[in-house]
Amino acid sequence: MNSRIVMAIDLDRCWGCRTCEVACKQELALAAGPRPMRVMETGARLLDGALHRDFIPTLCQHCDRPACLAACPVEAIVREADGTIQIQPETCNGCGACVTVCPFGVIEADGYEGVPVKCTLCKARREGGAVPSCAQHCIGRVMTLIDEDRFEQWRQGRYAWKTGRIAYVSDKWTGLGQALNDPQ
Amino acid sequence: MEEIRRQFSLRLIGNRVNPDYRREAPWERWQERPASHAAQKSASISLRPGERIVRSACYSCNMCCEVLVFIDEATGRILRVEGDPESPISKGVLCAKGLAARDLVYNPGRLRHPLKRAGERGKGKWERISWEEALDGIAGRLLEHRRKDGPQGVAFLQGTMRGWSRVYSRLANAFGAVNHGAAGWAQCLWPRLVDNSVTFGATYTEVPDFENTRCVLVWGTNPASTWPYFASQIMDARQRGAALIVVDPYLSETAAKADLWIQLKPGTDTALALTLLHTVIGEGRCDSEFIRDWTVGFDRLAEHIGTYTPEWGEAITRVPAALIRKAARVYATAKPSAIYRCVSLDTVHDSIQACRAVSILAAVTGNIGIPGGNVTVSKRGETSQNTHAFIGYDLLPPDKIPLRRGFDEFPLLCDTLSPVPTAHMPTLWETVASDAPYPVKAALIFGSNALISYSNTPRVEAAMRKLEFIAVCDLFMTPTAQMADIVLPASSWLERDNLISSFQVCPTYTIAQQKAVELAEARSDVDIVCDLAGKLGLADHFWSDSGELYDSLVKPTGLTFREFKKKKRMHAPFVYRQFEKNGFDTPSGKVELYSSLLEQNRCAPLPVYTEPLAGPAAGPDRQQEYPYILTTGWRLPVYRHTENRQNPLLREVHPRPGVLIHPDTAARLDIAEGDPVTIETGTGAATLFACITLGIHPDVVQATPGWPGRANINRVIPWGRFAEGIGSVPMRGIRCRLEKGSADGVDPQEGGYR
Repeated sequence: MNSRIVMAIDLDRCWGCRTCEVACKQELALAAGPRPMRVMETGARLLDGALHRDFIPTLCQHCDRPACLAACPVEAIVREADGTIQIQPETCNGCGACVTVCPFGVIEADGYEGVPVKCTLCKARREGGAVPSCAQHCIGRVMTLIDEDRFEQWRQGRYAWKTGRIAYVSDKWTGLGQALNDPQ
Repeated sequence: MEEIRRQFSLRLIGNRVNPDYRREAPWERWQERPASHAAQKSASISLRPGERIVRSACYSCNMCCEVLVFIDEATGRILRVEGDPESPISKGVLCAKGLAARDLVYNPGRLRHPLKRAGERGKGKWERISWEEALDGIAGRLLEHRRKDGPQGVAFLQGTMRGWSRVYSRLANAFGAVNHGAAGWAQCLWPRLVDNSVTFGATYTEVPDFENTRCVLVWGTNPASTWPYFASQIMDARQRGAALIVVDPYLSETAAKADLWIQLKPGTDTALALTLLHTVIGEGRCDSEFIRDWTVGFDRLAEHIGTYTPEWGEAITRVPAALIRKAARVYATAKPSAIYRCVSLDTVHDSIQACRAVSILAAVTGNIGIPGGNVTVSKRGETSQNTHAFIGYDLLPPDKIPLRRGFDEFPLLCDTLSPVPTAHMPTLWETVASDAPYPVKAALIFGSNALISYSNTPRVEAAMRKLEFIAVCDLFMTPTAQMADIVLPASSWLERDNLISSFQVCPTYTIAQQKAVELAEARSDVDIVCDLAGKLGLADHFWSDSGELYDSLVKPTGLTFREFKKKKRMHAPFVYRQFEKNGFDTPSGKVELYSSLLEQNRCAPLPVYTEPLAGPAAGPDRQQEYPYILTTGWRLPVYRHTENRQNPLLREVHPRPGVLIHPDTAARLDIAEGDPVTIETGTGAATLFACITLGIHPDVVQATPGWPGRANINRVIPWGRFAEGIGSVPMRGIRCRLEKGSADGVDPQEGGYR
């Protein structure tokens, strides 16, 4: 796990079936409550005379400039060699600062015994050579885990947006991520 | 946090759709997409120290995805259930239901021991008894009622059960129980199977060959929610460039990905199919060679469909004529095209005609038996449970068969054209309620939450209260089990072996399910049936236990079941164009566009369209009183029928029963998102929570079925008119009225059965 990884999320393939949500919770052994992976849906929207209904898996982006890491008063949040951002439960004091500052709302406050929980990109699975559970079980085969240096070739000119280890990819949305890049 | 996620997701995708996205109609200029477009497949298994794996197959729905059950070696408990990345069938995918299945074993509400009612019926007082006492008690009462009232006086009812088997039907037939059946069947799968049988002479279903297709026509189903690995194959086909056409009154998850979404008015499927046929035949887009060599009745069909123009269809289905023409052209010219149809075609008022019309579309375009089309399959290596021989049909005394309720009116359901000849359930429940024409006083209910899963719930509940003896076998103390005198604890699929040999779900493989753990005294219902058969004096017709049954089923392959389990699966690849060797197993040996068997059974031999009006609110004079059209087809990906509401991981994904309603309609009725909405039809009322969406027509509402209590939408489904020949209860296109309701008594936690 020396090179940096990217998990590409092909939005054009997402069926909105919520498999990833439950796959994530099972992998992290979470009870009802915290939901590190959530599929958000747009609802039916009328655009250019046609109805569209779209699904967007939301999870920790493993940001290149993580607000959570900067905000953690006890340095419990670290960046690993593969580029992922991990919470170290043994160091975490449960103050919740990371939950508050996350611009994506993807750190869930009530993880295990007061420690926040978020996507680890299935660290334990990857160490054993498997792909993240959401990626394996996904009914639309939306997620693909690849080395960062292969990503540009892999996406073949499709629209893409990423701010860390997660890359959203689409043929459908020409303005993918532009609103996020613009200053608010 | 949820709101931040929502804002992020909306800003991420923005609102500018690429005008060229799928505009290229790739199915017209076919080429394989580069492999790198295909998404990742996982090859590695996530086994960790201290864990062992049991390879099995999920039975959280009929799909039977292959799974790995990870077990803690120290405690023997299940840690997690995952998809099997090495499976050539499901290729590692597994939906939310399968992933959360561990709860089936460890949920505190699971039934662990046989129970006997200790107080008044329905008061919830139980006494633990032994299996011996429970089975003796059931057998004694069933025999007593058979002695008193005849075998027709004992009803054998089943549901989807906890695994795939037909031994229960065999028990019913051996006992002489002509009044055997399920809540589904006549309105779930049977119309499609009977259509297959009369049209193609195929014993089982016609299978879409997604891997080789250039067009998928999805009709009345939302595989993204309900048929997980088929959905993954459909997505792969779509991303390869295949056209996706979806027929659905709602912009479902599958419809949202369609190239052509055909938003038909609920219940008008036959009209739509006839207009597609009109276009295909009228424009000469048929496969004339296939029609000439392998079909009968084409001339009569061509004449018959003359009046079913797309303009006629537009007035009935609300689908623009231009869209009907376009869909017909894409389906016919993208060939090979595969139709994937499901339960909606069984739940319309003219089910058999709707199924036939769609089958005929596949036939006249020559999409039968070819790579990428619909392949008919009838048998493979092992002994099939889907035969009249296996279900012991010849064990029924012939003089008793005509006593079966519905026998005269619904020959396609009750007589030998039916895959499992069964009673017509609404007619049977009316008999239970009225003692006419004869008394039915006892019911054995296996794997069926009858109080929720039958239509016209108020009537079924009243009938059930009249039964003198009820025995229920299930996983949880369901509302139905609460009505019972004796309750048996069934095992979940994680606690039992099984041989899964179903063409509907796994067309090219027979697979083994392997027991991973045990729970208290819960037992496989196949074992329970074998033991009960012994107690009923029917041991001669049965196996000593499930192991002996599975051994006998796999015997033709030269293996024992133990050996089969080691192999895990048996492959029987598609045989294309099999008809060139064997013909079609119909009376004419060809595809019967004009059905001689339907004609013999007093049903329309060519599909005709009839109005989908049903129930007390049907008449044209009632339209002002009942201005909306109800369909109950909204299936959620985390539930299956009445199951899984007790599972906390699934319940948090979809916590409440919903009804889809257009914003204009909601505004008119002063209903806001999440408000309780009461739906009333003249038969009953149900209250569900509003989910406001532009994806449904303003005068249509779609409810989600399977919830208990006042949220149970089956409470409003009338028994008025049933589908010709087969007796399906119409559940698509029912007149209703709506009002803002009260949430009292619609406790979202009610589904827990705890």
